[in-house]
Amino acid sequence: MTAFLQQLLNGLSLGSIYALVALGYTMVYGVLRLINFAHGDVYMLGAFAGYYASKLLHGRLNGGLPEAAVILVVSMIACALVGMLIERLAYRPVRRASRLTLLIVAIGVSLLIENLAQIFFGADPKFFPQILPERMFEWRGVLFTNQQILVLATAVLLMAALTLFIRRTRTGKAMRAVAHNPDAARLMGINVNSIISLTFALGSALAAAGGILVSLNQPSIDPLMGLMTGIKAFVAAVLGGIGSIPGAVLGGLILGLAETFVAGYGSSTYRDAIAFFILIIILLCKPEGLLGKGQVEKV
Amino acid sequence: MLSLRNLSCRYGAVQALTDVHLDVHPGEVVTLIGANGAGKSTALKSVAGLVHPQSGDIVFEGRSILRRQAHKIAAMGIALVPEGRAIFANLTVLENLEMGGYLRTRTQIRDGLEEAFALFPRLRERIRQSAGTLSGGEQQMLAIGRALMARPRLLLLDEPSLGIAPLLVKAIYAGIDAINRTGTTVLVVEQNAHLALRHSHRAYVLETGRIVTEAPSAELADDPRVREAYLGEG
Ligand SMILES: Nc1ncnc2c1ncn2[C@@H]1O[C@H](COP(=O)(O)OP(=O)(O)O)[C@@H](O)[C@H]1O
Ligand SMILES: [Mg+2]
Repeated sequence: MTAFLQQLLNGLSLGSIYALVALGYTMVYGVLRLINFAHGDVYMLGAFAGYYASKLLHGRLNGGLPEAAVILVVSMIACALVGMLIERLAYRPVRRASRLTLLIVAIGVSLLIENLAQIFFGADPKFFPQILPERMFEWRGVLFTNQQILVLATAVLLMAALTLFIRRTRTGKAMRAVAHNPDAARLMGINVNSIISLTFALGSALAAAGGILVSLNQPSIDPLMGLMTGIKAFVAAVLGGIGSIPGAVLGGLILGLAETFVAGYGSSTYRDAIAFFILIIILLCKPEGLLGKGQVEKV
Repeated sequence: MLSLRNLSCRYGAVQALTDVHLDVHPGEVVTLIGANGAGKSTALKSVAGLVHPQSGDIVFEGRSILRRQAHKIAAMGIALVPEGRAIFANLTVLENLEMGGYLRTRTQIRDGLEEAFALFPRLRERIRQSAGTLSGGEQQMLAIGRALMARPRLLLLDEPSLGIAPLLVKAIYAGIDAINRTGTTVLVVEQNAHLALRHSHRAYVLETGRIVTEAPSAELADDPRVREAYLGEG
């Protein structure tokens, strides 16, 4: 039982990272019907933005939660800008082109970011500063760390904020309207380009948060760290139903739990394989995903 | 108020509009009738900024709106109720109406909601419902209510009777009459010429992208050629 609770906690903590990154895939897909393959790389840029921010800050804030919070915010803002830039420079010019063109552009952007990162940051892994020294707690035999709590709390907070924004605010509703029918949204006076820009900004900021939260735990960061996480978060988004925001959260949590339990009870060799196994199963049995609505009707 | 001058519009090789002239004066209800594929929707979409004609001009209240983006045209006081309604099925009825008032203040939205409910009381009963669950006629009411939330000076309607139960068609056209009585200018496109001629002051007939006739609606309803071609008589 203790072992089970332990795995559950670890799985939720990992899954909430996948969920944060998966949200960006699903939101962008919602408004553009585009798989933004560069999204995993934005997650990587988030980690590096945090790395450089903490170097600049060091000495001014002496570690601890305040410094972590500042780094998180700086990195989220930086990546929001990067996301908007990617949309503006790479995707907007080809928005009306065929799906194949979009796909190739997306892969191109991803490769470009990875290679630029290797040039500017260096290909070797860097050591993310240990702002929050790990502390262990124990509750009825279940061990948890302050970092796991931070990951869970931050992820829940960000997802709650996103949900409130999308459900309650005028701009959030406009985002849903654009996802359903951009032409009709234009007729309401909604500037669809701004909404798409904002969608990239929000999705990228969430990916950056994921990058920072992971790096606080696993301090080795490198320019290709976004590859595997990007693919897994994409699987999470497909599993939940791409385009569905609750779906992305659910898919992320399921994937995190599945990985942790497979590694814990089976063999950690299969840890990375489980995502692909899930992807194959879902594409065969329920291609629209757990909470997906199937093909959205376009008028 | 609205003037289409020499308007020509193509989709690739398909010529949808050729040299179209059309005027709408303040306070009027003007109808544009024509068979399926005549170019009616293209004309309205051109005005709303959803398609961009190759030549000619569109002038609204003295200013050319030909190259303007759709959301800016909406902000100028033109609202289009598109063919097939295009409601936001993933939003509630209330949220759809709020989107109609996207450019307006909270108080204006509150007043607008009351007006929309006064016009189409059925909408009030369904306010928390997902708009996708409404019947076709109710969706049309929602689409019109949503357009009115912007308080447009010019309302464009694309086949509001299409695919809707006869009883609801009556309610919808009664609504359009009421909207016009409050001073809103209306340009309505219809295949159903009977209905359109009964609820308009002036009419234009469009045939394969060209305007072939323009006359007061009452006159046109008696025109033998129109009766034969569009009213299924003769
Ligand atoms: N998006 C489009 N692409 C290509 N051809 C189109 C498009 N929309 C309309 N057309 C063509 O333009 C002509 C006019 O269409 P439309 O304006 O929809 O007519 P109506 O509304 O009178 O039925 C038709 O021949 C139609 O096939
Ligand atoms: Mg049409």
